[in-house]
Amino acid sequence: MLELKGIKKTYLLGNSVWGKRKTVEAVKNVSLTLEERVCLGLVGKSGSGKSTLGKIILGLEKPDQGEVWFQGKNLSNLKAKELKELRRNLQVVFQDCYSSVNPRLTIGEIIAEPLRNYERLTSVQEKKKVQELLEIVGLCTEDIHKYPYQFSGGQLQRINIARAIALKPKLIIFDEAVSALDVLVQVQILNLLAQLKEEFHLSYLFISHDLQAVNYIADRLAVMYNGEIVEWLDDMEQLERLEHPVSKKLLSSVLLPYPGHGSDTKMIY
Amino acid sequence: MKNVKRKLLSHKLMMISSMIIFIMTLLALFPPFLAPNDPNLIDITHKLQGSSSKFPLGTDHLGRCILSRLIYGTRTSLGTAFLVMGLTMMISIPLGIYAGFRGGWVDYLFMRMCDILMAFPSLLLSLALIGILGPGLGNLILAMVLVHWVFYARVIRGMVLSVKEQNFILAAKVCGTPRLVIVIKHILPAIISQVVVLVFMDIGGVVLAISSFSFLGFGIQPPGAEWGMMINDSKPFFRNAPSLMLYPGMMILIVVVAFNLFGEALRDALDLRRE
Repeated sequence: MLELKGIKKTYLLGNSVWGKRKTVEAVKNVSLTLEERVCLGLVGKSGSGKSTLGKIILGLEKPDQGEVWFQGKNLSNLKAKELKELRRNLQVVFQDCYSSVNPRLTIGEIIAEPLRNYERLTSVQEKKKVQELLEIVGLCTEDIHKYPYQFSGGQLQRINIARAIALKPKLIIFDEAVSALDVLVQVQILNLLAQLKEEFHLSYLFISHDLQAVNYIADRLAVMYNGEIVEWLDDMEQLERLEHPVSKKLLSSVLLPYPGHGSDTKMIY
Repeated sequence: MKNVKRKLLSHKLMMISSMIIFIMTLLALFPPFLAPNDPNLIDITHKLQGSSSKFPLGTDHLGRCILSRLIYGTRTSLGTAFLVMGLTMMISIPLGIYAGFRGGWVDYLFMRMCDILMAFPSLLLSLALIGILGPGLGNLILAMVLVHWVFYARVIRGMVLSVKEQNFILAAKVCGTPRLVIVIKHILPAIISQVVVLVFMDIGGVVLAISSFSFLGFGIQPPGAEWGMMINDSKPFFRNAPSLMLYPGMMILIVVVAFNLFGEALRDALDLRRE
């Protein structure tokens, strides 16, 4: 469903008139495929190019090289109208839930934004739809008139999820979507995501530095380091088989619930 | 919004300055009803008089009522200042937002143009423009707008840049919101309070600039009443009748201070990141 072919993205640093500008290769030659109804976890240290890759898929950044294929179409040579139609199947949830919502709009307006762009609904239909979405993500229907500052981080992230699923997309990218939440809320959100995935036949690209969260939700795993994918794992059960030093480091950074009980790498929830 | 209102009301300076601005606005709007005499009626027999019941603040060298001229001058000064600000904003807001939001070479070109225009002192540049266009109120307004929009457009561009990278703008892009709608619904509401504060903090300066141009004889032409011009007119009589200079000077001072205080109080009150 989603295929990346040799994606490359270089950022220019500074502003030098003479001589060569400093550059940072954020993503170097990344290729990956994501099938339908699969959750791919993309892990790596901060600065390894995960988020840049996510932005390239979303069309927020243009790759210097390489192609993004989505639902059998190359996103870079589509007409604006086709692109818009295709993009409705591609949504995102960011890490910072507070800045992801416009503080001046009500929850109803925030969730209705994608609906207004793609579907012609009357205000009654729109309200009903937004209330449905609120119920799906586990919030009250009365919250529709509230403002973002009246919610906690976890609730706001639910609102962001509601906005992301409003158009019934095929693929949602979660860019560190649970990393800023406390562990208990993380589990709640992850459970919600797993449930939504089944219900709406969604695919996820779950970008995170937290292997534990990824392990909880992902079906497959890709480890990124310095802008490259260094390791693949098709079966999350075999987490111990990760070989690359970066993967091992990430694996060992997972905190054990009972630290005194030896180095049992198996994770317990 | 409630919070802002409460903060404004509890601000003492704010109350005083807004009262002054309110009175000034009344003076500017209804001078025929408030002025005791015709501001342009010349009566040499009554020249340079002190205050009396007929002329509360006395008369100038041509026997015109000073109070009436001050009141009519409010209309010229404030009206021109607001007109200059309004026209400036009509250019600066769209251009600043366009450059900031669009980015890339458009932004680069815009910034270099700003650099060039801002290399000249603004007063000097306006003066040169008026020199080319010829004196007169219309040309003064035109010259000031042409010189001032650059600065505001640049500041507004900066505001847009800081808002543009926020996640809710990115999220709006991802969920298919057209650019124009993003600007109107997300960017403009986010910067508008800052722009309003900027306008009120600077409008005092514009009043001052207009008065200085009129003082130099580039603004409104005689016999029209304007504070800066009144000061200029009263120069030769400074020793005999210093009050002639004092009254318009006080008016300029009061208005400029009131607007500056108002702007500052507004900034304090609106400085709530997440209400």
